[in-house]
Amino acid sequence: MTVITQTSAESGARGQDRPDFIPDLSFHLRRAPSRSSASLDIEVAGIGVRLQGLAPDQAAALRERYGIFSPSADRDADRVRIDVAAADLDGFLVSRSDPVSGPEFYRVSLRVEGDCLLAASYEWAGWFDLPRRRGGLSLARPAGTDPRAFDRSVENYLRVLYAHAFVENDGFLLHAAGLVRDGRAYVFFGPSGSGKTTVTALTPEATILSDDLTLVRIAGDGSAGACSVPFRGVFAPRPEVQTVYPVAGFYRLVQDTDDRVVPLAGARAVGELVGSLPFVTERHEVAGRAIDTVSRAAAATPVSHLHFRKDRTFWQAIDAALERRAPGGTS
Amino acid sequence: MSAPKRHPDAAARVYDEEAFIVLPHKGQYKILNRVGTRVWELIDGTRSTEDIAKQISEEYETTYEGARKDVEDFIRDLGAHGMLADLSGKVA
Repeated sequence: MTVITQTSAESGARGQDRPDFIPDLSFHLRRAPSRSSASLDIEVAGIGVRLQGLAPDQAAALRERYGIFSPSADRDADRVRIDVAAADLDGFLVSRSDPVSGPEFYRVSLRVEGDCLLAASYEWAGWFDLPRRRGGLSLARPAGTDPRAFDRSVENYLRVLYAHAFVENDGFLLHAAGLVRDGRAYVFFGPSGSGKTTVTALTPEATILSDDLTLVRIAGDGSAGACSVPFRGVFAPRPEVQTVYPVAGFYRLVQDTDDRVVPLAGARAVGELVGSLPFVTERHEVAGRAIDTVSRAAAATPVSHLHFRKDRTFWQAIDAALERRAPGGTS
Repeated sequence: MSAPKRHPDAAARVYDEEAFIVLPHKGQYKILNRVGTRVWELIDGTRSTEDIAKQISEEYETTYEGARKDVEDFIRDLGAHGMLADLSGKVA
């Protein structure tokens, strides 16, 4: 259930002959603060984060990357404050890639200490305490010197943080493509290789929320809405608005030789969705709340298997299935 | 008599008599059918396998011997998937 953002071939930790180093909270709290004073605010679905201790060029690069999700700094805004600093280390986790098994899926180690969640990957390790609105991010040498390593380290830390923050705020981050047609969002989910990028490419008329990670928010009446997050795949353009679109349906992608929509209910609907939540089901301290949030979405919005061929005829199957569900539709 | 116990880290919910269980450390989940869900509910660290089999045989009007074999097999399967703690509290 871990999101793959890139293979470890891009990681600076490849091939090191040492065990994983997974720091505990005391490691982070002992660390010397950064001497840099620039900061960057990020806000996604009303949840604000301030990265502080950045070099000016780092802050500028992140501001450019996060676009509309990087509002003007507001000193008084309620944000989770994250201290970013260099760690005098070559890395944290070590890639297990080898010539036989090929590149390793991007690994993130997660554990909980009290109210704090600790996460570590190849080039970074961090923690956050959402109730107390604070956290820290330690960057190993490659992420401190290589702009690409810095960029992906910050992004992957933020993915973990936001995945947990959304669960605490009636939402969840889904490993899914979100496509908007006629004002409604169609959420296609599944693991890497299931076809999210394919259905995105086959629907050029749609507004693309994401082809990789889509945020689902649950309203008071249980209805689900979908919107963009700043974490993009390869196809999605940089989001220009944070509009929340009502979700028409959730579709677990199944590559096949025909197009069919097979409705799911109960545990099976919840199970398919939970299987595509990044990060938050790894720890039982968080998993129960994530399951309950997903259950609310599945109770109010259709969840289905979408068997599809690699052409756009799958939309006909979707439209017909939704028509059958509509009041007065035939079953 | 051993009293099986659920893994303390297994997050579980029941929907329409089907249990959905996430075993967080493995990032895996399992869906149990109606009888499996009932067995899961009865696994509480105090009931023995025999107690559970007796209860199942009464509720589902089957023989105790048949229920016992099914329950033992099922509990063994749950243990193999890491969904139970062993008697010393360790993960099975």
